[in-house]
Amino acid sequence: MLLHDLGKYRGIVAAITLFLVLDTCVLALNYFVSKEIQQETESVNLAGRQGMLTQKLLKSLYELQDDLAVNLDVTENFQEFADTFGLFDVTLVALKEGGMVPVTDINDTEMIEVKPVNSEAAMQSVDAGLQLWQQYREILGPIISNGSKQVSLLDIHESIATVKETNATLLKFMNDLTRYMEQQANEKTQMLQYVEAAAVLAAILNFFVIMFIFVGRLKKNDEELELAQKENSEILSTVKEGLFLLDQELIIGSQYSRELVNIFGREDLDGKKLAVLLKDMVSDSELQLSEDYIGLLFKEHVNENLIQSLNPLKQIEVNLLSSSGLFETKYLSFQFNRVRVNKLVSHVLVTVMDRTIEVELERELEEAKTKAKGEVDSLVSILSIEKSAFIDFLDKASDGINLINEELKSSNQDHQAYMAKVVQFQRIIHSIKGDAAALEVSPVEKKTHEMEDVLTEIKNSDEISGNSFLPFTVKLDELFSQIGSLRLLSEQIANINDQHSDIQPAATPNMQSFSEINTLVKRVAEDENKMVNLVTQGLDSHHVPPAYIRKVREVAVQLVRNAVVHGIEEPNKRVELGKSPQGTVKALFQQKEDGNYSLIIVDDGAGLSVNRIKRHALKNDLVSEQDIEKMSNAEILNLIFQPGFSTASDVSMHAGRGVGLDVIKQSVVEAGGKMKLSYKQNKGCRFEIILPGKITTTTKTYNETEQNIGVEQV
Amino acid sequence: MKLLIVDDSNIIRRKIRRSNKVGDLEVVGSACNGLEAVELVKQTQPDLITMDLTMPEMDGIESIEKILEVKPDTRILVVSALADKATAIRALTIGARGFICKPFTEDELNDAFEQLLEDI
Repeated sequence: MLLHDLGKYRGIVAAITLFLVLDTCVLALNYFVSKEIQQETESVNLAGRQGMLTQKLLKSLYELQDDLAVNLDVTENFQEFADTFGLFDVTLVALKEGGMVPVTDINDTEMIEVKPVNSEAAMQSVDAGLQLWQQYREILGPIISNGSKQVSLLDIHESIATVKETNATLLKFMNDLTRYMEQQANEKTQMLQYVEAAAVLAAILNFFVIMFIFVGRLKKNDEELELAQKENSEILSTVKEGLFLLDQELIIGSQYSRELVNIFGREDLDGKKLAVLLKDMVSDSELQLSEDYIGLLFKEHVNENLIQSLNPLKQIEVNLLSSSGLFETKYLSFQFNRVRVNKLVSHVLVTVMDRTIEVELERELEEAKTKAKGEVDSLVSILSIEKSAFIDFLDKASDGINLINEELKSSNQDHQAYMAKVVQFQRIIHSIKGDAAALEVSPVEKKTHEMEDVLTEIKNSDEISGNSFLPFTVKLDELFSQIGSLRLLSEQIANINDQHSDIQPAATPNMQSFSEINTLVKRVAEDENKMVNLVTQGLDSHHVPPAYIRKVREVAVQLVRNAVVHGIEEPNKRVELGKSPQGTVKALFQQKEDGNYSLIIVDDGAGLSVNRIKRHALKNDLVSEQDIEKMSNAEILNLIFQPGFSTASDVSMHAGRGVGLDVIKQSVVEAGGKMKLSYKQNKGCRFEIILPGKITTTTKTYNETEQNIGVEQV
Repeated sequence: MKLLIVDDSNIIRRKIRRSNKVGDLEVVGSACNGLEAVELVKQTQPDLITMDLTMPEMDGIESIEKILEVKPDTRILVVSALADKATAIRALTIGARGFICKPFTEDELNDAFEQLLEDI
């Protein structure tokens, strides 16, 4: 490990290394100096021995002299004399120049190494000693080399004289040498002590430096850590999100934000599995999905940004116990992010946000938008719908609402009767919805759809009572005001149009207008339980001149609807009559050779029934019983063009409301047109409307043009 | 950078092929089922794969397993509907790198490719 890799521990490692180096140096120094001191001590001993040897040399000379005087065998004493001389000589030379010296005596094989003396004073002593010793060598050397047999008393006398004279001086030199060398050794010992003391001091200093710097640093670290922890906990107690960490085992970490406690209403999250937190909020399968999803974040190969859309907890609706002890619905959003340590994912940071307020606001905004859009849609639809068709729709809707209202007022009914009412209401509401859809009045369509849902709920309930209709009544009231405001809107628009009557209404979405007939037939047939095939020809903006588009559409819609409701029989009836169960209604538009236009609506239904027309005319007080007896069939048939005539046997939303052929008739005569009606019992009915090829703008009154209506029975 | 497109809908295949980011890549092929995909991986050794999960013959999960056996460093982007999160998560667990849900915008697809190519 390199020093720069050690980070904050670099200092302490350097300090310890320094300590070890210092220690090693002191030990090495100690070793070498001690060794030197040991050597020097030996040298000191040798120098001391030299002093002793000078005395021994004199003594051996005396003993030799004594032996010679009495003629004793001198061999032994001579040998000792020679040995002493030799040992002194070797040692002195070694002290001057360095070399090996026997340990005990000259014959000893064990040698010690002697280094030359190096202090000035010692060298002077050695040199002085050597100078003096040179005399000894000159006098004693030849005696020794002659051997014990040749030695004479005279020689010894002379030797003793010389030695005796200089011996004290030589001894003094040797003692000086010893003293100087001892001094030097002592100095070294002292130096060693100083060095050791210094080393100990350095070590202690080093220790304190380490203590001071590192304890200081540790303390600083602790303070920083404490501060960081304080900041951490401040952050965790103030952030607006629930924050916590999850490890690979999906266990919640020890630190989490205060808000998390607020959101979940529980404190004991530390060390718990995530499942414990979520188990009452999400289903088991969602929990499993969430755990698998978090598992992905621990997989390095997965791109964190490319799995966000899979987060099962992106927004969940939960019911949580609030501080007030009540359960409340919250919308929580969970976010998961990787936490990396040394480039590896170690934890997942979970951010929990309470999005309840946003979700509710979004919802309100959405509702407001829908409402605003509804109003705009209404306006747009009113603008694009034929006024008469729209008024027709509004009238029908109002009639339906009134009918339902009447029905709701009657009380004291049993389940069965209520059930019948629900079915009736369903039919009426469905019919309004169908019309609203065909005219694209979406707010009404939406409202009626809601009402159908409410009715289905009532129908499915075990026991229906008057109270069951309460929610329906509320919706009915809402529908009523919707229709009311639409009527107001249409009247206002009508006023604007009247004031600007020179502006022709845009003759635009005519393909759509004509295609609406198809939708209408389909829906009406479905509601009337009939099977109808509509065939159209020439009903498009290519064939119909722009000025007639509104009129043609208005008339065609009305007549086609009448054909389906009144003309075409129910499939069973048709089969009985030997017809195909599916009826056919044809709507054909063309320009005739004379330049006039013709719109023909033909059906293969029941045709007209004079008796039924009679009955209805009487029932609706259109004509008195007396008068009707006098009327011809043609006159009776003409009654169907009277305002308020209706032939539908029951009140349905597609017929039976007294608005029909009279409106068409007026519309046709306004344009200067003619209308022909022919029929054959059980074979069908044919309306032909002739519109002038030269388009007139003059409006003829109803009465003036009455003769333009022709009815014939074929 | 070689791209293989695996999807049983030719509309989706075309949409991916025509996106901007894919313009910088070399489309080495497209497969409409898992068996074809594995064969094409063997032949073309693509670096990137966009992978549908519900396909005839061999489903996405099995295909991913086989493809990663053939070429373990292939970067697979799962392109699938959100309806079955569990299968998508499974696909990622066994080695796919990312997920975008159908229907996707061109921007979403471009971003996804950018993310996928980030550390190459």
